Amino acid sequence: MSFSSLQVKRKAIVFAFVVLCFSTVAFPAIAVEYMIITANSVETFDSFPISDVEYFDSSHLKVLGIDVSVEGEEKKVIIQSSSADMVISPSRKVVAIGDELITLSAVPSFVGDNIFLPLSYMAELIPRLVGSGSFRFGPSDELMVSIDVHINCEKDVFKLSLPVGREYEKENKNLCLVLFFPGTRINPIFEGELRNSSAISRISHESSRFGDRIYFYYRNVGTKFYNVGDISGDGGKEIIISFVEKKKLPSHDASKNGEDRGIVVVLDPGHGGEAIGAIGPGGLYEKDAVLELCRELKTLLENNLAVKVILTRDSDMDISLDERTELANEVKADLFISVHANGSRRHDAQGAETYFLSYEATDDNARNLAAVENYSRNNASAPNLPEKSGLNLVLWDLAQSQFLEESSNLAETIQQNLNSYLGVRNRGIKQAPFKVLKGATMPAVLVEIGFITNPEEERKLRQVEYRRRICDALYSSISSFKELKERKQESNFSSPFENEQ
Amino acid sequence: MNNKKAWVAVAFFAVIALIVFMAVLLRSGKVEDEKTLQPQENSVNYLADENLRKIVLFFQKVGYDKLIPEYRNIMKTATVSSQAKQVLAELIDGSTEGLLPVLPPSVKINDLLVSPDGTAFVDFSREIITLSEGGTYNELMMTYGIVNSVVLNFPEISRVQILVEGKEIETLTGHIALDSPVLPDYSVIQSDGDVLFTDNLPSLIPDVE
Repeated sequence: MSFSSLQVKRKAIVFAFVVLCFSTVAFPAIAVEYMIITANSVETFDSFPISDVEYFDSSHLKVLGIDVSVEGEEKKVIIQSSSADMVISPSRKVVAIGDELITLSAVPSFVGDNIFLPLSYMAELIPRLVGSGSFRFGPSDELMVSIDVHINCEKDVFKLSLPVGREYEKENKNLCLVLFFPGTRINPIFEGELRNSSAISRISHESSRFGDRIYFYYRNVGTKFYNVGDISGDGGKEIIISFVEKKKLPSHDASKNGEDRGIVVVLDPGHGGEAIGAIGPGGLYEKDAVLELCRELKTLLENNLAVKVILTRDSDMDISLDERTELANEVKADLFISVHANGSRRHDAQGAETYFLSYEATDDNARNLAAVENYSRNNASAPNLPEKSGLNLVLWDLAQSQFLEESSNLAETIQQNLNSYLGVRNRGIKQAPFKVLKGATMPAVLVEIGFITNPEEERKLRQVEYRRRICDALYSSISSFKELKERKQESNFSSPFENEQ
Repeated sequence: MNNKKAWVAVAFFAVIALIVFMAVLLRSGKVEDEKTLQPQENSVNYLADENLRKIVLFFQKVGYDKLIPEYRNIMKTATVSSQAKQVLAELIDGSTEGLLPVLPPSVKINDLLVSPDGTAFVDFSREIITLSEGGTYNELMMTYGIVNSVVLNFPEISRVQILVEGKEIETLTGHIALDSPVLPDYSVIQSDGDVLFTDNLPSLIPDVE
């Protein structure tokens, strides 16, 4: 071999080595997702490979109550839990747990302020610190949590109870509603045909490596779930799903009654569940005060008028703003009233107020409004905008625009009645871009029944008699709305939206 | 000879791999540099009168239902977005005249961009939601405290898209829709027909009521 070829060979080896070194940095082994699961929480993180050893960021051990810190120039890693300590000395590859010494395959690594520990032995050593059985630690795909889900079915309302810390996602398909539980195994549940539900024919259960799914099959295509709310408590979470079969919508029932068809009113008690709303100085929650009032108003209305009243929520649960309006559209309500209690930093702020939707006069909106008018002309049933995509999304946002005049008149009536029934100083009606009013395809207003942050008004809102006065004001407004609507229908029976069919 | 050729080939590919890798390294290094090197503006004396401008902010006051204007100076920095950021920082900082704030004081402005069509995108930290007290009135004061303070001071801005932690949000506390840009609302300002004075936008508040 000549001198030059030897040199080339040497260079080639050096280069190959350099490339190898860089390639391990530039293209490290693929990170693996790990999970630490305790009784009430799940921590997921990716492993961090450093020169062929899988590491993980020790800060994730906080979920187990383990604190990891570095001490001294020697960079001793101290791993502490409430019951035991462990010290790893980076130079010695030995760990001391109590009196016991264990030899380790790799030492901790430091990236910035973070302390990285090798996964290989930590998964075995951690149980010695916090005791085994209280948690599970390992690659996500090997660690699925098994839970019990109890399904309760009463008419078409299903209640599922979930243990603490478990989450779910819902997917609405044409034929079924699917609840997906990521990273979770569901222990065998009731599966099969249902006889006593008019909306759901069958429940089934399916496992995948990402988690389990529960399928609720609709008896008829077109059945919709309108309302999924969660109630969180100490023992976990309760999912409530209510199914409505299209043929059984309340407005349809009412039409069969003949003489006094009546109207459908949707009352929307604001907030709910984790969304508390405003809080009074005496601890009264907006979500509770408005639910109470809406229940009372429903009774008052149904006992005295030919109206069907539907509440968007009849318990302390959180529903999205869109779902509230969707329900009102779904049941073809004649009237949507969202009920709230106000809050201000100024504790002197007081009085009941009525709002309706404001439209901002931008070019975009003018164009969109034109689109709505066009759409309405071509589709007689325009106000029902079920699918929220593409153009419909724009229409959804502007659905209320067709009803602004009626909404404004209604707001005016309500405000006048509130002022006279409550004897408060005269407050006018107001406009603002309320999210919950945007998609409503009927006259819709938002009523602030008073300032819960005002100590005096908070006290009054706790009194049945005072709430009764608010209910009377709303009752009288709804009653005049109904009369007006009926008079209109008599004199003008071909309303532009009732030509079809 | 064959052996030698093989090694040359290996070396050749190794060199190319190394060059590509170094190029990637250098490029990422350069991006770092651009991030850390902010344009130096220290040469301007921002305490001099000619480098200050008067702006209007909106706060609340006991006994009044509407937003109350308060005036102060900000630095005439180079861009509209940096000035608008100052306006919002002053708004968060609160009144110097004993008025009540419209925003929780620990809210941070993560970012503020002004698009050519006159929309200001303001990204707030999560405290704007987590520390808000709830109630339509509070939410109206927050929203229009922000939107009016930003729009009234800058003819270049006509509407504000409020973001939280970089994301579009439905509402702050369940009422006012923030899923599209919000226009200013002059009807929530205590006016009495006053002239609102700002440096480059002497604007008469329309007498809405």
